[in-house]
Amino acid sequence: MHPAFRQGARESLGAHTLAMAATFIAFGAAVHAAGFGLGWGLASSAGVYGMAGQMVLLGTSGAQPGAATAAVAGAVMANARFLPMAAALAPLVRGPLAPLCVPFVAITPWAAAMRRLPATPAPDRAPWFLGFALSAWTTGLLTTALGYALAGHLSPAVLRLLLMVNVLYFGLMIAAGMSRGGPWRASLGGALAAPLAFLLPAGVPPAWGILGAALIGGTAAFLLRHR
Amino acid sequence: MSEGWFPLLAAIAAMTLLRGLGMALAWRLPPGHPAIAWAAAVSEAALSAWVVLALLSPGPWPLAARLAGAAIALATFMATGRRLLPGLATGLLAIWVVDALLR
Repeated sequence: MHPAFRQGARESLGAHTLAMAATFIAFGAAVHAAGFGLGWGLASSAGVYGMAGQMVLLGTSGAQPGAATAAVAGAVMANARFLPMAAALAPLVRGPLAPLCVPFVAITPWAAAMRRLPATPAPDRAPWFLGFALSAWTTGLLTTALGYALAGHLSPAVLRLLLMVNVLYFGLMIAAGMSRGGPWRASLGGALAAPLAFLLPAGVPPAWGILGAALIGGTAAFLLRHR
Repeated sequence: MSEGWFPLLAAIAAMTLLRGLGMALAWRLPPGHPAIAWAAAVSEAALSAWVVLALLSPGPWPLAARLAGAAIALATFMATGRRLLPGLATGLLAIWVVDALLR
């Protein structure tokens, strides 16, 4: 096993895993409450592997006419950020292992990789990412199953609290990046543009708001990067 | 709930396409290419926009509880030398406490 793979897997265990696990436990419990099977929940965590899209699918994949199309469109919008995230990651993991990295482009491994990989020797980058991502992905599957098994034993308040873990976690990750002189313009741009989402007409999925804020805030940060 | 499998499988295919397309588009570009810098900026902005909207949008906790939780988490995080777990723990506790106080 490549030492960088082991290192990545080791580094994924900690606050990253705890925050992600909490969200997937809540998701597993929600899958059970919605009447879907464990296989459906596991397939969603394994293949969609982006909580915003997973929650949209869970909430909209009903038996109503047209629900399937709406569910897929909603999930794609919710996770549309995967496209620029994968583009930003590509130069860091370029090489024969890069195709293996594709299914693991998701917030937790991506955010860790963008902070860790630029300072990592090029030959170690893809193995490190795969070690981190595979460990995080496995945690996601295990905790989805755990949440499914625990459904009914957790109070609604605990489930609601679990959904806040990722929000606080990524808020702190962004604060850490900004205090270290990381991509603060882009983080600030997205945060400042986010309230524009409240101007969207009623009925427009919130995911469009995130995408719009990201495009406006991120593009402004990009244009101002050399000033 | 067998109806749920078709949208799930279609969504999995769409996610794979999004990720693969992003990787393929940037495949031949150098790390410092403006397109990569733009994609990274948009991705970072998406993350912070998601956090801000999760804090401000109507949700399972009152707005005051969510904002207090974020503030306490950030203060603890900075006070403990940027340690994530104490920040997370106190932030969650603050959400719970403020929610209880508001009831």
